[in-house]
Amino acid sequence: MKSFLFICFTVIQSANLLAQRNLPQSEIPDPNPMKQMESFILDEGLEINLFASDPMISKPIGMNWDENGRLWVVSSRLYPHIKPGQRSDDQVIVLEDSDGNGVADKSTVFAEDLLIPTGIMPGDGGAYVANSTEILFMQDLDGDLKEDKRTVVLSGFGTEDTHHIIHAFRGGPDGMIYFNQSIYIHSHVETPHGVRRLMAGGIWHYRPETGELDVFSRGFVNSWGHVFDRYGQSFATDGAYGEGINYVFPGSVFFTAYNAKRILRGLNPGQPKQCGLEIVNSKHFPDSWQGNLITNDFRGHRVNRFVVSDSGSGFISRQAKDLIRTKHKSFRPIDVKIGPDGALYIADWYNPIIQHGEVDFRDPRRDHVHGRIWRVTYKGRDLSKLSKFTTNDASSVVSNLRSPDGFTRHFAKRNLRKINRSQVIDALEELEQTKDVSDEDKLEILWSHQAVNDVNEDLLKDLLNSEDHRIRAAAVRVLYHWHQKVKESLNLLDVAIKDDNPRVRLEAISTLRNMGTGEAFNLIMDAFDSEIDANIDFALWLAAREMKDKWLPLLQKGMINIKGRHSALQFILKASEEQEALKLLAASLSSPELKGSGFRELASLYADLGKPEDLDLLYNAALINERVVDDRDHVFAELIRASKDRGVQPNDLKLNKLISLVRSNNDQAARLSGAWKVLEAKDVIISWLADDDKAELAIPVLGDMGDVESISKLVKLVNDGARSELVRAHAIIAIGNSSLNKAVKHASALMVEAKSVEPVKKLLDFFLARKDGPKLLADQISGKRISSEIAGFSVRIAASSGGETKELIQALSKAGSLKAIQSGLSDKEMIGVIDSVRVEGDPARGQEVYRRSALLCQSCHAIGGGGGVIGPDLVSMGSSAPVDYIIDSLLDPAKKIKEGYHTTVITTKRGEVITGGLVRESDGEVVVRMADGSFKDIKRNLISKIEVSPVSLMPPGLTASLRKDEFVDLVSFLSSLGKEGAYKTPSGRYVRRWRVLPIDSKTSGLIKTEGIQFTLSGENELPWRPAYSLVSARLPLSEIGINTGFNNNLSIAKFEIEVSIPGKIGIKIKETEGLQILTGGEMMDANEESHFNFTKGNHEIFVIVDRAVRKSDLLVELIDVKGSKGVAELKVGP
Amino acid sequence: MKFKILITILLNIVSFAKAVEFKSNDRVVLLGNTFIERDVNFGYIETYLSIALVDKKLTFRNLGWSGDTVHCHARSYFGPPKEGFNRLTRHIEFLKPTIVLICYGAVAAYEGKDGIGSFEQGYEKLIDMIRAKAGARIVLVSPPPCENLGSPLPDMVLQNSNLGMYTKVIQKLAKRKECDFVDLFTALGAGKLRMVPPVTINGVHFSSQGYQKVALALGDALKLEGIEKVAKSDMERLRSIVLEKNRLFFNRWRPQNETYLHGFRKHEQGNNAKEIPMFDPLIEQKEKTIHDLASSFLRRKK
Repeated sequence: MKSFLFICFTVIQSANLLAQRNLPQSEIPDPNPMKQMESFILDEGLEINLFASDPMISKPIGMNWDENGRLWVVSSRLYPHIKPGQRSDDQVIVLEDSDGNGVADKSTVFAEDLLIPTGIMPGDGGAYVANSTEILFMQDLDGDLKEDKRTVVLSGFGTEDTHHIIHAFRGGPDGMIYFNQSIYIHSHVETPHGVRRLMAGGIWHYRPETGELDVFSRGFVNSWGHVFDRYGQSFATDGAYGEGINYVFPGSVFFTAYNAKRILRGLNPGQPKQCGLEIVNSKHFPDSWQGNLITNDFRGHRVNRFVVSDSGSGFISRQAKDLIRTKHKSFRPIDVKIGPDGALYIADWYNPIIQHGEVDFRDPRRDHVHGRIWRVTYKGRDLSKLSKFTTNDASSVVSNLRSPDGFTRHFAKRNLRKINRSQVIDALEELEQTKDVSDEDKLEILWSHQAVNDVNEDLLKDLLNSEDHRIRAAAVRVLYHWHQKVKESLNLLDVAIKDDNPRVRLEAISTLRNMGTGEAFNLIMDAFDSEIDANIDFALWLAAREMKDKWLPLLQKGMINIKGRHSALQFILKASEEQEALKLLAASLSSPELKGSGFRELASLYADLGKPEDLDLLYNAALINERVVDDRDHVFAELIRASKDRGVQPNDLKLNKLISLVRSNNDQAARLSGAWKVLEAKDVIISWLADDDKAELAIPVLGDMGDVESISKLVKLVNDGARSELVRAHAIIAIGNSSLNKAVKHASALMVEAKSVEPVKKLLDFFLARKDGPKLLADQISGKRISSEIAGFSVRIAASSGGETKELIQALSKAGSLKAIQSGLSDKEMIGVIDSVRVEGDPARGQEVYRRSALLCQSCHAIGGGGGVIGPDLVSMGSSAPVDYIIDSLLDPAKKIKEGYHTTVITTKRGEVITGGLVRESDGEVVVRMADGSFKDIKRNLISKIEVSPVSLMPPGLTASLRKDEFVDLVSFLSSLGKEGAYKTPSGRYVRRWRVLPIDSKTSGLIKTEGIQFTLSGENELPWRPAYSLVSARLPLSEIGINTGFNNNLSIAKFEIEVSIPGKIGIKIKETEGLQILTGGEMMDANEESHFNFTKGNHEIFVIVDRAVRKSDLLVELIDVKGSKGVAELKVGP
Repeated sequence: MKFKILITILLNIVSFAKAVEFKSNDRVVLLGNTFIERDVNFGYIETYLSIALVDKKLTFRNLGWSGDTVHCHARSYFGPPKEGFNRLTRHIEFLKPTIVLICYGAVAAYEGKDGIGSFEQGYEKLIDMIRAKAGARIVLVSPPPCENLGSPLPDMVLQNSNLGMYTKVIQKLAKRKECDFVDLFTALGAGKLRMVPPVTINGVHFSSQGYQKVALALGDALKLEGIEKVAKSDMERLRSIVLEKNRLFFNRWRPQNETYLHGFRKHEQGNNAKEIPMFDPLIEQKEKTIHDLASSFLRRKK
């Protein structure tokens, strides 16, 4: 079997060949708009027509309507990057449909000297336009739709990536302009109120007439959509991090904000990425569509619909049927807005190539010319009529605030800003007094006061008492902005913080946090008396941290309302992370009442912040008789960490107690004695060396002790050829912990004689994780001979480590006589492979190749949420990346790395090197995802250097063992992912992450004697293995049915759900034949649909398969139960 | 309109020590926060100085950055503030200016008295860096005053008093470090003079008229003459070229997509960084046009 792919022993630093390649044009579709329209598959009842197309517009990026029913579009031919000498001539275009037939008949170029404009908001007699580092206000003084006067109103927005620059302009119900920036952007903006800075992603709001600019929410990778619902609540979508709809409130923080210690989650984990967001608030669509969210899966060429509904302080979001699906490769829906006729308008950026991080700026396949606006209507339903706002009569404009159409209400409010302010206020007051005015109308009136900068306390108070919690919550939000102007703010919030409804309480917490005083914090404490859900928990945590300078001194003076709320006290003290706070927690820590996770969290806090006297307390707390073993071991582990990371130990080490614990074979105590260098324990530990099992524990402890005798014992062990290679490798590592120089000689010697790769892996991991490790090892290896198998293996480990390993790789290659073979493809070879993929590629066989465990794909990548998280989710790989990109990425993973998946290399002050994916960083710590999927917290003060490595965590050469046909099939599969057809994940919440149980003799013995229920539900350690569903969401029966035990027909799989709100949750199973379900200790025959009452927290659901009966694959879906409050999500990830 | 008339309305122009001496082919760098950055869109300072010092054939590079401080925080991209300082150091090394006009203090002044220590310390470090890297002559320009434009914009009385305080700090610093000093704060009315029409758009950021006044005040402080000899239409012609040059230089020194060109993803798209120096000859071309045009105005006048 000839290996097709050229094992890569070198990481090539090739120039990017892509731009020069003569790539196949066959992938580029016919740009005829009618051909494109024919390819659309629409949801029932929908119709589509072309509103505008090239040459009328090209490359639309963002759009918004004005009060006259004209559509303002920003477009860029320059994207992604201006060429030297190229004119910056990007445009603002205004489209008009003057005869109301749903097709634009007039297009006016409003401005044409812009540099990649990415957002637009018409209004105030012109338009606000995002233009690279600035927001421009372009005025039209004479109404001819041509810019007459230009003012830079804000500047200093970052441009580190042109698909991240400020975007998604959205008019708020409060008269402000909201806009977003993405993860690579760092903005520094001066306003009359001072400088405002936002590092990485987030949402801003801006009030032009006052010059106020502030941050509303932080985080996101590409927050390309934002919309308000009828009650002023915000939702956002993201074009990269894939959790669908996100509920956004003031101060909320999402993946992966700068300096974020905690983040909130999206409402649809495992979703593909989305761009643009609109809410259906148009009578043109059926009632069931009202309040639905419309967004675009621009990679998968789809327009999606989500149904959101209230759940606690937040919302749940469920996907409904797509509005539009197509196989057309250039359909890139990126913005969506409801028009004056109530129809949906969708901006189609029209491009076969998206992104410019991974695909060359100058890739000739980029489209710089085309662009479309599509119009989607509902068959047989009346269109809305545009209210004309040409009048300056305040009462007539104000009367539109009661319109059933969101469009009309919104533009009435925006238009009020152009009319004499006192007339507007009179008209608003008059409308408020109208007989049948509803609370919803009054909310619009309140917002209108806000929009014209008029504080109306009476109306605010009226709505704070509304029957409708959504109105009350909206009123509290208004107070968020008015708190300095409303005298009774605190009294009003005193009521709101105790509201029955969680969303009102959430708003109250945010508003009190915004007030920022000690008095305000005292009111926040009252929120601890009501139920706390995930959003409220976050808001409380944020308030406790941001306001700690205010409340901690008050608390010390006894001036904070504790009212017996001890858990609340613990919560805020923990959140504060102040060493001073530890004293106030001493009683809780020492109490035998506190156990389990509560105790452990507190113990970790002590270990993080404590001085020696605090650690005395912690150590004592661990040693009290009532303390359960797990909790005590946790404290010991934390004491080890405090000693190693911070060099802090208790004053009193209680040697007698510690040594007696070591004697009684307490592992953690033994490790602690090592960390504290308690040489008195040494004899016991040395005696453990004789036995291989015990030696594994004893070796690192002796290494930590590091005294002459301990080290000499370890050296003896290393030189003892009778001991296993693994034990010897461990001993070398332990020596290395005191002396890298001493260890490296032994390491190279063991590598020369090694028969198996496992000990070599341990040694390499150790040396690669030390600053000078790779260099020392390279020097030591040079001139030696190593088997080609070991050397080849070592090269692969070194090449994907992200560190400085060039010399080591050379030394290993020489020692193993490895031939460095070129890994890149020539243009001709590349075209050949692309052709084969097109002609011969079989995605079904490719999926089998993908799932082979030897290839490791699934250990790092998920498809639609099921699978590893080290690499990006591949759910829409095929629809977003050209074939040559996929091939390049397989052969040379370092060549293109998805944003957010770069390897971060952290060097600590102690000389350790930690390599992983950056999850989040804050002033206090950096969190990285390690190659095994685990998370590692590294405290900032221990770090000497953080670098982003140009090396991918994906090792090169993974596909080296494949035959050509297998490789071609694999590429064919990957390039089908997300495209319309069999390899697009279905939209239900299907179980994709499984654990399957190979039934070996031990397990089958257990089942025989104890029964299935006990075996599965008890605390037995069973050899569960991860398994993931196919793209179709089915789990192949063959992957479950590994059975070497007594009953050859019994197979077991399980999945996990996380219940956030307790209640009835539904499970739907396709074909129940031969299946039983076990959950909560109860076993039952499977039904097509069954409902379970679940408590809050994680639950496991077992599927027991009788393979004598069952022949088809498993397909299981999580569903909501009508009328039930219960909310659950499937656990995703590795 | 002759610009001399405008100059006469300006009060109390104070310049410390003797007038800055410009030499032939001086490379002038303008450095500061939003106030300096936005002059890129107006070009009055460069236009006026180019005319007044036409025989010197000066070149100008604007390194202003919104929200920036003496610590160069706004230039730091992904890194800590000190990375911004390193970035500016590289730009100074690259441009090798012979004169640097620096205007900081507007951002720090929001911190009031508490901010002065760190401001002085940072400013001194900045001056030392520029001298060490380029040996340039340095002119410290005080931040301009704010305007009170009335509700709903905020009251700027406190900020103006802070700006006055920082102006004094800068003046003392200039003396200590032997830099030239231009008191723009006082020259523009110290927040006490109500300008009609206003010179700012929101109390803090200057309008087109505002930048004209700034340029004249600066010219006056630097004891420059000759601007009034040029017709307004000629001036505008020249200014339009200055703006084109400014746009080219902006894309040269602060290109978009920095993450891919020179940042941590340069291994993916860094090959495109080769395009960036291609702006240099285009900028030089514009500069030649500026010099030729300014000389032609002067020849005509003689």
